[in-house]
Amino acid sequence: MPMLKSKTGLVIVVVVALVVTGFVGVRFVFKKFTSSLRSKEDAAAQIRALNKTLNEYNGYSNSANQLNNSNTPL
Amino acid sequence: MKKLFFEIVAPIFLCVVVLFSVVGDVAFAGNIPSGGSGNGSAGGTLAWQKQILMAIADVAIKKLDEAENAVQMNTVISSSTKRAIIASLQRIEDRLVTYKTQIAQATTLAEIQTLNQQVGQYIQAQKNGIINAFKTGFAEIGAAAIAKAKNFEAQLKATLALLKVVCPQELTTINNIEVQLATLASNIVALNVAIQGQNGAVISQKINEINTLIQHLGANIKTVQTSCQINL
Repeated sequence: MPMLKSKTGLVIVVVVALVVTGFVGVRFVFKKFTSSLRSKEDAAAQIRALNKTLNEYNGYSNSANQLNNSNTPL
Repeated sequence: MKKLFFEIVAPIFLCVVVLFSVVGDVAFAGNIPSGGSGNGSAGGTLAWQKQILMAIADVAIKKLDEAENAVQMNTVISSSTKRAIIASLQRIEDRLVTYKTQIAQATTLAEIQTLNQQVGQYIQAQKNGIINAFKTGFAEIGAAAIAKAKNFEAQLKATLALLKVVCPQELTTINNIEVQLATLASNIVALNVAIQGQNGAVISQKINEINTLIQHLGANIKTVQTSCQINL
Protein backbone atom coordinates (compact mmCIF):
# COMPACT_ATOMS: atom_id res chain seq x y z
CA MET A 1 0.00 0.00 0.00
CA PRO A 2 2.68 2.50 0.91
CA MET A 3 4.49 1.47 -2.30
CA LEU A 4 1.35 2.21 -4.31
CA LYS A 5 0.93 5.49 -2.55
CA SER A 6 4.47 6.54 -3.34
CA LYS A 7 4.04 5.50 -6.99
CA THR A 8 0.82 7.48 -7.31
CA GLY A 9 2.50 10.40 -5.64
CA LEU A 10 5.40 10.17 -8.05
CA VAL A 11 3.09 10.05 -11.03
CA ILE A 12 1.23 13.08 -9.73
CA VAL A 13 4.47 14.93 -9.18
CA VAL A 14 5.68 14.05 -12.68
CA VAL A 15 2.35 15.00 -14.24
CA VAL A 16 2.25 18.27 -12.35
CA ALA A 17 5.86 18.92 -13.30
CA LEU A 18 5.06 18.22 -16.94
CA VAL A 19 1.99 20.42 -16.89
CA VAL A 20 3.88 23.26 -15.25
CA THR A 21 6.82 22.87 -17.61
CA GLY A 22 4.47 22.72 -20.58
CA PHE A 23 2.58 25.74 -19.39
CA VAL A 24 5.75 27.70 -18.78
CA GLY A 25 7.12 26.61 -22.15
CA VAL A 26 3.98 27.51 -24.02
CA ARG A 27 3.80 30.80 -22.17
CA PHE A 28 7.42 31.51 -23.04
CA VAL A 29 6.91 30.75 -26.73
CA PHE A 30 3.68 32.75 -26.76
CA LYS A 31 5.40 35.69 -25.08
CA LYS A 32 8.24 35.53 -27.56
CA PHE A 33 5.78 35.42 -30.42
CA THR A 34 3.63 38.32 -29.18
CA SER A 35 6.74 40.30 -28.32
CA SER A 36 8.03 39.77 -31.84
CA LEU A 37 4.66 40.80 -33.24
CA ARG A 38 4.62 43.87 -31.00
CA SER A 39 8.16 44.82 -32.14
CA LYS A 40 7.10 44.49 -35.76
CA GLU A 41 4.07 46.64 -35.09
CA ASP A 42 6.28 49.20 -33.36
CA ALA A 43 8.69 49.11 -36.29
CA ALA A 44 5.79 49.54 -38.71
CA ALA A 45 4.52 52.54 -36.75
CA GLN A 46 8.01 54.04 -36.74
CA ILE A 47 8.40 53.52 -40.49
CA ARG A 48 5.00 55.11 -41.14
CA ALA A 49 6.03 58.17 -39.12
CA LEU A 50 9.34 58.23 -40.94
CA ASN A 51 7.64 58.19 -44.35
CA LYS A 52 5.35 61.01 -43.29
CA THR A 53 8.33 63.15 -42.27
CA LEU A 54 10.09 62.22 -45.51
CA ASN A 55 7.14 63.49 -47.56
CA GLU A 56 6.93 66.66 -45.51
CA TYR A 57 10.62 67.33 -46.10
CA ASN A 58 10.04 66.84 -49.81
CA GLY A 59 7.50 69.68 -49.57
CA TYR A 60 10.21 72.00 -48.21
CA SER A 61 12.48 71.02 -51.05
CA ASN A 62 9.73 71.91 -53.53
CA SER A 63 9.18 75.22 -51.77
CA ALA A 64 12.86 76.08 -52.05
CA ASN A 65 12.88 75.21 -55.74
CA GLN A 66 9.74 77.23 -56.28
CA LEU A 67 11.30 80.27 -54.64
CA ASN A 68 14.49 79.74 -56.59
CA ASN A 69 12.50 79.77 -59.82
CA SER A 70 10.63 82.90 -58.72
CA ASN A 71 13.99 84.43 -57.98
CA THR A 72 14.86 84.12 -61.64
CA PRO A 73 11.62 85.10 -63.37
CA LEU A 74 13.17 85.65 -66.73
CA MET B 1 20.37 86.61 -55.43
CA LYS B 2 22.09 89.04 -57.76
CA LYS B 3 20.76 86.75 -60.45
CA LEU B 4 17.26 88.11 -59.89
CA PHE B 5 18.13 91.57 -60.98
CA PHE B 6 20.42 90.65 -63.66
CA GLU B 7 17.93 88.22 -65.01
CA ILE B 8 15.03 90.62 -64.85
CA VAL B 9 16.94 93.59 -66.06
CA ALA B 10 19.53 92.00 -68.25
CA PRO B 11 17.23 90.57 -70.92
CA ILE B 12 15.39 93.87 -71.31
CA PHE B 13 18.40 96.07 -71.27
CA LEU B 14 20.70 93.76 -73.07
CA CYS B 15 18.11 93.65 -75.81
CA VAL B 16 17.91 97.41 -75.72
CA VAL B 17 21.67 97.73 -75.82
CA VAL B 18 21.96 95.19 -78.59
CA LEU B 19 19.13 96.87 -80.39
CA PHE B 20 20.81 100.22 -80.22
CA SER B 21 24.19 98.78 -81.06
CA VAL B 22 22.86 96.99 -84.08
CA VAL B 23 20.63 99.72 -85.40
CA GLY B 24 22.32 102.53 -83.53
CA ASP B 25 24.18 103.72 -86.59
CA VAL B 26 20.88 104.20 -88.28
CA ALA B 27 18.83 105.22 -85.31
CA PHE B 28 21.07 107.65 -83.54
CA ALA B 29 24.18 108.52 -85.48
CA GLY B 30 22.38 108.72 -88.74
CA ASN B 31 18.82 109.58 -88.20
CA ILE B 32 18.41 111.71 -85.13
CA PRO B 33 18.75 115.27 -86.09
CA SER B 34 20.54 117.56 -83.67
CA GLY B 35 17.16 118.90 -82.64
CA GLY B 36 16.37 115.40 -81.38
CA SER B 37 13.04 114.97 -83.13
CA GLY B 38 14.16 111.61 -84.47
CA ASN B 39 11.37 111.35 -87.00
CA GLY B 40 11.45 111.29 -90.77
CA SER B 41 13.36 108.28 -92.14
CA ALA B 42 13.70 106.96 -88.61
CA GLY B 43 9.92 106.68 -88.35
CA GLY B 44 9.96 103.03 -89.30
CA THR B 45 12.84 102.31 -86.92
CA LEU B 46 11.03 104.13 -84.11
CA ALA B 47 7.86 102.10 -84.58
CA TRP B 48 9.87 98.90 -84.82
CA GLN B 49 11.87 99.67 -81.67
CA LYS B 50 8.71 100.59 -79.78
CA GLN B 51 7.15 97.30 -80.79
CA ILE B 52 10.20 95.30 -79.71
CA LEU B 53 10.51 97.08 -76.36
CA MET B 54 6.80 96.66 -75.64
CA ALA B 55 7.07 92.93 -76.40
CA ILE B 56 10.10 92.60 -74.11
CA ALA B 57 8.27 94.48 -71.34
CA ASP B 58 5.25 92.19 -71.82
CA VAL B 59 7.40 89.09 -71.38
CA ALA B 60 8.99 90.58 -68.26
CA ILE B 61 5.57 91.48 -66.82
CA LYS B 62 4.25 87.97 -67.51
CA LYS B 63 7.26 86.39 -65.81
CA LEU B 64 6.94 88.71 -62.83
CA ASP B 65 3.27 87.75 -62.53
CA GLU B 66 4.18 84.07 -62.58
CA ALA B 67 6.85 84.66 -59.92
CA GLU B 68 4.36 86.52 -57.72
CA ASN B 69 1.85 83.67 -58.04
CA ALA B 70 4.51 81.09 -57.21
CA VAL B 71 5.55 83.02 -54.10
CA GLN B 72 1.89 83.46 -53.10
CA MET B 73 1.30 79.69 -53.33
CA ASN B 74 4.45 78.82 -51.37
CA THR B 75 3.34 76.92 -48.29
CA VAL B 76 6.43 77.48 -46.15
CA ILE B 77 7.21 81.20 -46.36
CA SER B 78 5.50 83.40 -43.78
CA SER B 79 2.76 85.82 -44.84
CA SER B 80 4.84 88.88 -44.03
CA THR B 81 7.77 87.65 -46.13
CA LYS B 82 5.42 86.75 -48.97
CA ARG B 83 4.00 90.27 -48.84
CA ALA B 84 7.49 91.79 -48.93
CA ILE B 85 8.61 89.67 -51.89
CA ILE B 86 5.41 90.18 -53.86
CA ALA B 87 5.39 93.92 -53.17
CA SER B 88 8.98 94.22 -54.38
CA LEU B 89 8.15 92.35 -57.59
CA GLN B 90 4.91 94.28 -58.05
CA ARG B 91 6.77 97.60 -57.86
CA ILE B 92 8.93 96.52 -60.79
CA GLU B 93 5.88 95.28 -62.65
CA ASP B 94 4.02 98.56 -62.09
CA ARG B 95 7.05 100.46 -63.31
CA LEU B 96 7.19 98.33 -66.45
CA VAL B 97 3.51 98.99 -67.12
CA THR B 98 4.18 102.72 -66.87
CA TYR B 99 7.24 102.24 -69.05
CA LYS B 100 5.08 100.58 -71.69
CA THR B 101 2.65 103.52 -71.72
CA GLN B 102 5.54 105.96 -71.96
CA ILE B 103 7.11 103.97 -74.80
CA ALA B 104 3.78 103.92 -76.62
CA GLN B 105 3.57 107.69 -76.32
CA ALA B 106 7.21 108.35 -77.25
CA THR B 107 7.72 110.21 -80.47
CA THR B 108 11.50 110.13 -80.79
CA LEU B 109 14.29 107.61 -80.41
CA ALA B 110 15.99 109.94 -77.95
CA GLU B 111 12.87 109.83 -75.80
CA ILE B 112 12.95 106.04 -75.83
CA GLN B 113 16.59 106.07 -74.82
CA THR B 114 15.78 108.30 -71.85
CA LEU B 115 12.88 106.08 -70.82
CA ASN B 116 15.17 103.04 -70.94
CA GLN B 117 17.67 104.78 -68.71
CA GLN B 118 14.96 105.80 -66.27
CA VAL B 119 13.44 102.33 -65.96
CA GLY B 120 16.93 100.84 -65.61
CA GLN B 121 17.75 103.27 -62.82
CA TYR B 122 14.45 102.51 -61.08
CA ILE B 123 15.07 98.78 -61.14
CA GLN B 124 18.62 99.29 -59.87
CA ALA B 125 17.25 101.36 -57.01
CA GLN B 126 14.86 98.54 -56.05
CA LYS B 127 17.60 95.92 -56.21
CA ASN B 128 18.51 95.61 -52.53
CA GLY B 129 14.90 95.50 -51.38
CA ILE B 130 14.15 92.55 -53.63
CA ILE B 131 17.37 90.74 -52.73
CA ASN B 132 16.66 91.09 -49.01
CA ALA B 133 13.05 89.97 -49.36
CA PHE B 134 14.15 86.82 -51.18
CA LYS B 135 16.93 86.19 -48.65
CA THR B 136 14.36 86.19 -45.85
CA GLY B 137 12.20 83.75 -47.81
CA PHE B 138 15.09 81.34 -48.34
CA ALA B 139 16.13 81.60 -44.68
CA GLU B 140 12.58 80.72 -43.56
CA ILE B 141 12.40 77.67 -45.82
CA GLY B 142 15.91 76.64 -44.75
CA ALA B 143 15.04 76.87 -41.05
CA ALA B 144 11.87 74.81 -41.56
CA ALA B 145 13.84 72.25 -43.57
CA ILE B 146 16.48 71.94 -40.83
CA ALA B 147 13.81 71.30 -38.19
CA LYS B 148 12.17 68.65 -40.36
CA ALA B 149 15.50 67.00 -41.25
CA LYS B 150 16.43 66.79 -37.54
CA ASN B 151 13.04 65.27 -36.86
CA PHE B 152 13.67 62.70 -39.58
CA GLU B 153 17.12 61.98 -38.16
CA ALA B 154 15.71 61.28 -34.67
CA GLN B 155 12.92 59.10 -36.03
CA LEU B 156 15.35 57.15 -38.17
CA LYS B 157 17.63 56.46 -35.19
CA ALA B 158 14.69 55.08 -33.21
CA THR B 159 13.56 53.00 -36.20
CA LEU B 160 17.02 51.53 -36.69
CA ALA B 161 17.20 50.50 -33.03
CA LEU B 162 13.95 48.58 -33.46
CA LEU B 163 14.91 47.10 -36.80
CA LYS B 164 18.13 45.69 -35.35
CA VAL B 165 15.97 43.58 -33.04
CA VAL B 166 13.15 42.76 -35.43
CA CYS B 167 15.22 42.28 -38.53
CA PRO B 168 18.74 41.06 -37.67
CA GLN B 169 19.09 39.41 -41.10
CA GLU B 170 19.25 42.90 -42.64
CA LEU B 171 22.01 44.12 -40.37
CA THR B 172 24.28 45.06 -43.28
CA THR B 173 21.65 47.36 -44.79
CA ILE B 174 20.88 48.76 -41.35
CA ASN B 175 24.58 49.51 -40.82
CA ASN B 176 24.73 51.22 -44.22
CA ILE B 177 21.78 53.38 -43.22
CA GLU B 178 23.65 54.33 -40.05
CA VAL B 179 26.61 55.49 -42.15
CA GLN B 180 24.24 57.59 -44.30
CA LEU B 181 22.82 59.07 -41.10
CA ALA B 182 26.22 60.58 -40.40
CA THR B 183 26.15 62.20 -43.85
CA LEU B 184 22.70 63.56 -43.09
CA ALA B 185 24.00 65.14 -39.90
CA SER B 186 26.85 66.87 -41.75
CA ASN B 187 24.47 68.07 -44.47
CA ILE B 188 22.22 69.61 -41.84
CA VAL B 189 25.25 71.50 -40.48
CA ALA B 190 26.08 72.65 -44.04
CA LEU B 191 22.50 73.88 -44.56
CA ASN B 192 22.74 75.83 -41.33
CA VAL B 193 25.96 77.46 -42.55
CA ALA B 194 24.25 78.34 -45.85
CA ILE B 195 21.38 79.99 -43.95
CA GLN B 196 23.87 82.05 -41.92
CA GLY B 197 25.53 83.04 -45.19
CA GLN B 198 22.13 84.18 -46.55
CA ASN B 199 22.86 82.68 -49.92
CA GLY B 200 19.57 81.65 -51.51
CA ALA B 201 21.07 79.48 -54.23
CA VAL B 202 23.26 77.56 -51.76
CA ILE B 203 20.37 77.17 -49.29
CA SER B 204 18.22 75.76 -52.06
CA GLN B 205 21.02 73.44 -53.20
CA LYS B 206 21.64 72.11 -49.67
CA ILE B 207 17.91 71.54 -49.10
CA ASN B 208 17.80 69.52 -52.31
CA GLU B 209 20.90 67.53 -51.38
CA ILE B 210 19.33 66.60 -48.04
CA ASN B 211 16.11 65.70 -49.85
CA THR B 212 17.98 63.33 -52.16
CA LEU B 213 19.68 61.70 -49.17
CA ILE B 214 16.42 61.40 -47.22
CA GLN B 215 14.68 59.79 -50.20
CA HIS B 216 17.59 57.36 -50.49
CA LEU B 217 17.37 56.53 -46.78
CA GLY B 218 13.64 56.00 -47.18
CA ALA B 219 14.28 53.56 -50.02
CA ASN B 220 16.78 51.61 -47.87
CA ILE B 221 14.29 51.42 -45.02
CA LYS B 222 11.74 50.12 -47.51
CA THR B 223 14.19 47.34 -48.46
CA VAL B 224 14.54 46.29 -44.82
CA GLN B 225 10.81 46.54 -44.27
CA THR B 226 10.02 44.35 -47.27
CA SER B 227 12.71 41.84 -46.43
CA CYS B 228 11.45 41.41 -42.88
CA GLN B 229 7.79 41.41 -43.88
CA ILE B 230 6.86 44.41 -41.78
CA ASN B 231 3.39 45.38 -42.92
CA LEU B 232 2.61 49.08 -42.79
